[in-house]
Amino acid sequence: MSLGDDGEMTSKEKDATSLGSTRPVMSPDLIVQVPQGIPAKEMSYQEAIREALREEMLRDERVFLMGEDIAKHGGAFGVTRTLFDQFGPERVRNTPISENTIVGAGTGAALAGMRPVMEIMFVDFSGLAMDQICTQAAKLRFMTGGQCKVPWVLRMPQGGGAGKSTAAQHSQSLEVWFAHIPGLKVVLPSTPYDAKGLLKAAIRDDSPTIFLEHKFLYSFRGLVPDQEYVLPLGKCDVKRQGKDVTVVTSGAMVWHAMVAANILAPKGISVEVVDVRTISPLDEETIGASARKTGRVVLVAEACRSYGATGEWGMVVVEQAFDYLKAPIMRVTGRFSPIPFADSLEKGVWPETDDVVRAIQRTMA
Amino acid sequence: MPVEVFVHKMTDHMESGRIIQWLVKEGERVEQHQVIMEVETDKAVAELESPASGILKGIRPGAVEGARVPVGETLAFIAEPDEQVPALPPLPSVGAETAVEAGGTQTAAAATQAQAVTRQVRATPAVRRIARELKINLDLVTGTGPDGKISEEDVRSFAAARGGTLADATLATASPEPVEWVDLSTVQRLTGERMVQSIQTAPQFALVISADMTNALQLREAIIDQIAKETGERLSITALLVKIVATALKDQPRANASFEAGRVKLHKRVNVGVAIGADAGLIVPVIKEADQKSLVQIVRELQVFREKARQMRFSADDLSGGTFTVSNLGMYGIDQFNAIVNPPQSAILAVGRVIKTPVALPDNTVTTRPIMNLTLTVDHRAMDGVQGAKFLAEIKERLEKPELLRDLERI
Amino acid sequence: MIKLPCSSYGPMQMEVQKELLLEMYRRMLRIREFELGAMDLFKRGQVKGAVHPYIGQEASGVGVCMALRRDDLIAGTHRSHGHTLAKGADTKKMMAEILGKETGYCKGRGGSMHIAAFETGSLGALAVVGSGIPLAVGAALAFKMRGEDKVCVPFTGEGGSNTGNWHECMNMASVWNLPVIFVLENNQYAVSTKVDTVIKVKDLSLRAQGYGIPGVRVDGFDVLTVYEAATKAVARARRGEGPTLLVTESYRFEGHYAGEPEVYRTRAEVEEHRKLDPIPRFHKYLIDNAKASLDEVKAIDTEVKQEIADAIEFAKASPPPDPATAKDYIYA
Repeated sequence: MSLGDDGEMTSKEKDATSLGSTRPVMSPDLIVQVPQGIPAKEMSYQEAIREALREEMLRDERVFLMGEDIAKHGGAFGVTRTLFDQFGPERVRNTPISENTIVGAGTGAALAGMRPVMEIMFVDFSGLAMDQICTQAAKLRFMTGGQCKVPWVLRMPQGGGAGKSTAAQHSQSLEVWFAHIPGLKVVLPSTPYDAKGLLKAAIRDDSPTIFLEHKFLYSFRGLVPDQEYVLPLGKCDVKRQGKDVTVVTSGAMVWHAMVAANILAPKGISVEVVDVRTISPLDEETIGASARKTGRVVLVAEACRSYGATGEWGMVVVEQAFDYLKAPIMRVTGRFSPIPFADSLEKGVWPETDDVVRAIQRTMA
Repeated sequence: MPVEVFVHKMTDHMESGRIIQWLVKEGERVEQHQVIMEVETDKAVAELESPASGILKGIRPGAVEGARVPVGETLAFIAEPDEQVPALPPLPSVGAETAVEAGGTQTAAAATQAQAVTRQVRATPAVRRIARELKINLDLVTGTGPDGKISEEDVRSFAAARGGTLADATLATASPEPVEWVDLSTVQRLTGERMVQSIQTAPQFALVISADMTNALQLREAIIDQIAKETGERLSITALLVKIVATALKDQPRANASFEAGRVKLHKRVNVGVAIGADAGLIVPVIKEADQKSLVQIVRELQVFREKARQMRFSADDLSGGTFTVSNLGMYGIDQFNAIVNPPQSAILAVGRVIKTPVALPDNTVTTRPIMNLTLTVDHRAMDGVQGAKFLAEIKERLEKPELLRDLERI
Repeated sequence: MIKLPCSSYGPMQMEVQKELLLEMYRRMLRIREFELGAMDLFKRGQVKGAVHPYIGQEASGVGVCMALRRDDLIAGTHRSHGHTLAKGADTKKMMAEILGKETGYCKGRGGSMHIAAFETGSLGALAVVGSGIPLAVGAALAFKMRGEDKVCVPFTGEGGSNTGNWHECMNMASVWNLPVIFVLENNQYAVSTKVDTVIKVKDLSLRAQGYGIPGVRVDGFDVLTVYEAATKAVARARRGEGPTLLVTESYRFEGHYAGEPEVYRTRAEVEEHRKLDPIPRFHKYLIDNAKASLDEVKAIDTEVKQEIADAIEFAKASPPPDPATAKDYIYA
């Protein structure tokens, strides 16, 4: 993607970088995670997730999938396409519309030694299953004094944008709902490479893990190594090294941060982008080290402002790096509002690249 | 009807006083105006007089030696022998001395402002850490950023200018210099605080003039015996100055004023404070309506003040109400000095010694004259340079011109 | 007064071995004594939180659990001391858990409402009404996927049968043909709410029809009737023929929780139902039908009482969990 001569984006580019349309215009080159020379294929975020599922199901017969429309239909977002044909109806199970029992049965199966990967069609529907997720599965190991474990993964698409106008009940970012519950792990990958590696890790992890996929990142492409790999849960990934400002972010916002960094580099501002990846448990050390290095921090999250992840990250920065701060910590977040339908109202409800650029410039002032 | 005994507001902005001692006991008979208690104010020890004649009764629990009592709080009663007096509840506790008395109206606000300047040093956490590492006190660093924000460069240049961290580092490791600690008396401490506050709130500048004292000294010679006969005291330059300054202040009321809440308050009365050095510190008793008083009266008052200074036994009245201050360090050999304005006043006159100085006469021959340097320090909010100059010039005139000096002969 | 139905199965057809009968008696008595002991400790302030006694319902839990193998699973409710003991749990570890001791089944982390004894096939008491049912359904799914012939039994009350959990589970288990026996213990009251004020249908076993599975209603005070019905349902499940709804009509003699002022029902009503007490009833059955001698039964009485006394001793003497381990088991 090109930038104007002075490093400013043209308005066409600005439109495009709002996580665009069906086809993203953010180039895979923006985030390069596979070193030159390693055999790799370019694939989409959606494909990368499917590959992870496929590999883990081949590797471990205890892994099976449950969710609505995931069998022949391949899932509402096409993630589980072809898996039904490969593994059959027992291991790729369509369920009735019973979110609570999808998770509850998954929990029961996990207690009985299976490793289910459940899908709830939109994170916005997770409310129906909150009892089983938060009150049962998250706590069973603890309540029983370690007599059992609940090794499941609950995959849920989240997020909004891309001009799709999915509105209030299909666009939320709810990672903090789950991050607040001890016993759950919460993952939010931003790239195909991260998605595949982290999902494999989540499936192999023995704790119940919420795997949030940004629905409009499904079409984003990136290199994924041919050779099998697993990424660690609970570790941030520094997607871009810098020395002037630390941007702590996750999910789709990582892309905005990377574009912002490219815009500001020719202006002499060196931006470090820390992709949180695992929301909980949070890798406080990496965030702290980066904040201490640069002394200036901008937190960027798609979810709405109040009581969101940026509050937690901000306090971590204070705890880890207060004496090194050269400026107040800033945040760029979604508007604290249900997400409206009309374009004119939806505009500005989520952070854009511009917002990140401005915030970085303000913190450098 | 029992009469309440309470600590009066003895100085301009006094809010509390400390009981030094009761001079009478519960049940004793006292006469009106008899001194029944000694109270430490922010300026000195003051005497509390009985408001009525009768029996001292019903001393309040907590109103004991050393107790800090709020102004206006009833401490006891003077009553008839058989009269009942109410039982008073124990004294409310008084907060730490709001000692610093402000100029003008700022009072406690200015005081906390003075402290707040220290507390609100603007520096980011990173800069504070660097200051800690370099052992720099941020209170001493001037910030070059907006609103006085201190940057890292400010800290580092301060450290470099101060001889750097190495010195401090070695200081930390070398054996410390031997020292002795001296405690300040209340008066010294409070004076210091008032001076800090004066410097921080009033923009001050100094004007210097030298007066040829030939005629003044001649006058002094002429009347010194008479004065001595009347008062038993030697007529001092200071006494002369008080009279002259008082007259000039009457003439130029602008110099007899205070800056308060954005306006200049002209005092109707001319109360000249005279700085007197005592063991406990510098004290400034006030000669009230000095312009109305004769030289003899002034000399007498100064004599009494000096006596009181020996034991710091001033009444509240002695120390309050000053509108101008004169400070003479000539007797200590000082040629010239700049005094700090005594808040809430807006000017102070600092006087040096009389020095035999070569001067040029109109015909360009040189002779020696007794010259005395006068320095007027002025609060620029109340008076500007021209106003100050005019005032100082009048004082010089009154010291030099025979026709003006002659007024003083009517002692 | 509850109107007792005839068993859907007619008169008892099974022959039950003596050992089994005595074991049934023992287990019912064990539950009764355990609950009485727990209530006593609670009244003395030695048990924190709350206990929800199963007293009066012993025949229901024991009848079902005696039809299960050790490796079958049950999932319970807040009132699951009875279920867990019926499934064969150790009284010492249970009592220790109620007292919050390190030696309890859950190492003091769960307490009365979350007692799980995995080693004896009890997934645990789950205190949110209805929340344990999906766990049993999921476990049954796992068994089926692995081709094992184990079955799962979620217990719930009539109140729980109104939750979304219950209906979703009935649906999913039936459409997937899972080896589940849904046991619905109708003890007539959900805290203070009488069943007929919240459920229209009188015969709760009819609810099964909506899901296409058989529903059976039995006398929950008759341990043998419950046992027989449970055995048939278990066999059906093991054959791969899917779930059954088994409704046991019962009554709880104590309050919803120990120490509850039971303002929603009369003393007289409670006393009427105490006449149906399953334990003396079974005791009488055993003696009258010469299934066991008085001595044999008396011996069980003594042993069980001693067992509970020992359990209480053990629990009291056990140490509380070490605060240094407070963060254990949050993650796996």
